[in-house]
Amino acid sequence: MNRPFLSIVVPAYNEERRIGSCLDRLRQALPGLVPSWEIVVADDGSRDRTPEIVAAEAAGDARIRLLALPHHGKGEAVRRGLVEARGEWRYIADADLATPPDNLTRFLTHTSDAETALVIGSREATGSSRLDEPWIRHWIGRFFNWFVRLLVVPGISDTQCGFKLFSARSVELICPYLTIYGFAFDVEMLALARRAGLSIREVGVTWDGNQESRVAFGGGAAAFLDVFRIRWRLWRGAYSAQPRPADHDSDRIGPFSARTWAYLLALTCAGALAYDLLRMPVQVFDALEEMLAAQRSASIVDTFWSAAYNAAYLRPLRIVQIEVIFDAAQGHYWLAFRGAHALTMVACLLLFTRALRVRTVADLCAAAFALTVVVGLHTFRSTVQEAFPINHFLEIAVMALVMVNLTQARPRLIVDAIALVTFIVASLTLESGLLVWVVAVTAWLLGMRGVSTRGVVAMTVLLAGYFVLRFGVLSVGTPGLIERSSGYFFDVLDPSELERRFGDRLVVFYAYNVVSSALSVLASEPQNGVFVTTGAWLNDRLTAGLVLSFLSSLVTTGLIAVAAVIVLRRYRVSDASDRLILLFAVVLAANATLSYAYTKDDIMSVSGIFYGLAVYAAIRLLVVRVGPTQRLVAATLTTVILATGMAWSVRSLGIHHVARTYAFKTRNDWASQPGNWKRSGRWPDDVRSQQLITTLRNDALSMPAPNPHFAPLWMARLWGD
Amino acid sequence: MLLAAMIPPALLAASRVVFLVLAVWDVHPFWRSEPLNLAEAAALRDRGEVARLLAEGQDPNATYRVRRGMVRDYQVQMTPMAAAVAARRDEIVQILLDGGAKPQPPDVEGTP
Repeated sequence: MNRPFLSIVVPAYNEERRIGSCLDRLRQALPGLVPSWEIVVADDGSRDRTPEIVAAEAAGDARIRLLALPHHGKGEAVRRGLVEARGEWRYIADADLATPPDNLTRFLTHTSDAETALVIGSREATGSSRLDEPWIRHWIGRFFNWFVRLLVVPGISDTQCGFKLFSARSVELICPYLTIYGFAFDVEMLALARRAGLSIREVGVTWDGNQESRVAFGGGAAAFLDVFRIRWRLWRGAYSAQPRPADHDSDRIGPFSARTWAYLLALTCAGALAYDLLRMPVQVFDALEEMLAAQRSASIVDTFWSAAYNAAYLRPLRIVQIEVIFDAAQGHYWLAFRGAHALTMVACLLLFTRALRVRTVADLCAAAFALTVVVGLHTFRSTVQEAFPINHFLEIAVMALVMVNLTQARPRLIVDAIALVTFIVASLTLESGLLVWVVAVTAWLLGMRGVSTRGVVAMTVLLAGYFVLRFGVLSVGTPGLIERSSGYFFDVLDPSELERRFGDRLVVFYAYNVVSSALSVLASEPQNGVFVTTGAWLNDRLTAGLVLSFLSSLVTTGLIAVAAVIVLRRYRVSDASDRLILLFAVVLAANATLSYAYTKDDIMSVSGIFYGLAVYAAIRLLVVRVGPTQRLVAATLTTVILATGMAWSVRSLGIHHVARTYAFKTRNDWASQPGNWKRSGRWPDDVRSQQLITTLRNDALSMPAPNPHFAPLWMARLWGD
Repeated sequence: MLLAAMIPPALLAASRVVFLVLAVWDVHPFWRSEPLNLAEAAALRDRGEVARLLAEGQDPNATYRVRRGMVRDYQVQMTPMAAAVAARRDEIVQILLDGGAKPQPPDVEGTP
């Protein structure tokens, strides 16, 4: 069904005497004013014949709809009516039509201005006229307006006129946050519009004050209290937390809501990846030594303290987690460690989807695209294939996503408490866990204040404590040049070579690492610090996979950049998903900085996940912004999104190839390992260690891993060996 | 535009569902295993499979049929040691020796 140009939303409560003539007057006036229209009567649980009258009218005219609601108050009826309406513009009109329908032209003249989001009728603005209004009602209204301007929305001369015109976009930005059902709901709407940076225009209207007023003394007094509440909520930042959408707020597609479809999509992807992970043996390198240490450890407390005293890293909880799972495994090591890995990955994708807050079909499409990007990005690939024997980089990504979800929640003490625990666990697991603090603080600055000021301050105090503990108490240093090999332009340099080249000019190497880490997320080039695509191009060894990765990342980053420019040009972030773009920018910068010592794609996996959040926001913003009239732009954008989506889908599919290849390599490592260790003198003397290695080896050899010889050659060309 | 954003991920999700269903019958397109004998596993540098077959009791000194394209452009009969040498994999030679293969000069050409 085509979207009408204008929806008239009529809130009605016991309006049987007026609703029929109201609909007649609107039906007569609208054809001469707009090309297409609908009328939505939001019946607020009337106890008279109002719903029957409207239903009868609707039966004879498909452009009239009845929205039968339980009685909550005018504010809720208006909110539901605006949300259910389908028009590009949505006009709320009281059933008394105190402002005649022909006044609509004064509102509609502003719709051609692209910046207009909200046009409100005013009985005080130039061109207005009041007819037969009792003086006492007029002066109470003026006093209320003075009070509202003082506390909430300065500069608006009349907030209470019951005739307002909203763009569809402004409805999306305002309605999910409305909390007031009573007389002051108009004030809350305008406060939210101001907060979202929407342009509000006042137009003078004719107003017939001789109509029967429904505002009782009690309701009027409550409105003053509601204005205080709005001020208080604005001051606390309570509107910043995006409310959890109720079922009726989410579009339905077939049997499920858009949100449920998004979760199903994420579960499908997570299920397929979990299957891959459960076909992979436990890794040998960087994992077997950790498991042997866990077996030897006397207690978890001992493990914690011995891990705390390390020359370059402060990661005690990393080892503790390995020991906890090891002890719980009861001999089923493969199941315990790969099971934990699979569950972490499932949690990651579900938390990612939850952070998107999908409500509409447009949201679902953007979410599907973003999920494909996240799984297709090379930084995610390494988080899936590697585990030492826990993938701690994936854990940090999960904890960063927990923090994003907390910042979107309703501020409560429990939210702050969970945020603090998340930060402590993340920061003591890996250095990149400090990104959890970056997420919380940046979100707070952007107005996402589910984690309250109190929580952010407490977390900052803990961060200071972390630095005191690390550098003051434990004297743990920072990674130097000799920690590990690192990519540099076209080569991987080992520690001795790094020392030789950069021993006296560390800044150059660190700057290279920061820049190349950021570029790796934005352009998929370099990877692990090495410019593989450029190198292959220079040596005539370019493969389809490298080209696909580079171009798809470049175009997608371009879309994010365009969206970022749009957001920044508004000077105010107007939408919860817009904030995700800015949040990504800050997390990327912080993550790249933390990666100064050496380049490794795994470290950038948190940024990779946030890249996906930014992609969601960008696609959603562009899809909503480009109207049907901008045909050339819409056609170009459609082509770009389709082509890029196909490329990302191919990249995303490649993760199964990578997992299969890695399983083959890991199984081969186990086949050689006992012999190699015996020959190099590393075979342990104690029987328990020998039994552990034998158990792990038998587990690995019993898991069939397809030989790459049977895979088509194009797979290796597309997704690598 | 919405469809453009949705079509590729929807196709991807559908293919993943199909993969998982096929996995029930062990014919997942990415995880389908081809049975190998000891010489073929050695020829294809499959250390894991060589170790498993040795543990299972396959004779490291017997001659096996190696399918076309694995060592030569035609099917040949050869020992696992010959296949490993033909594939130039020292690690597999070592695993075969650890598994009881005789250190004798292998017939790397095999018998057609």
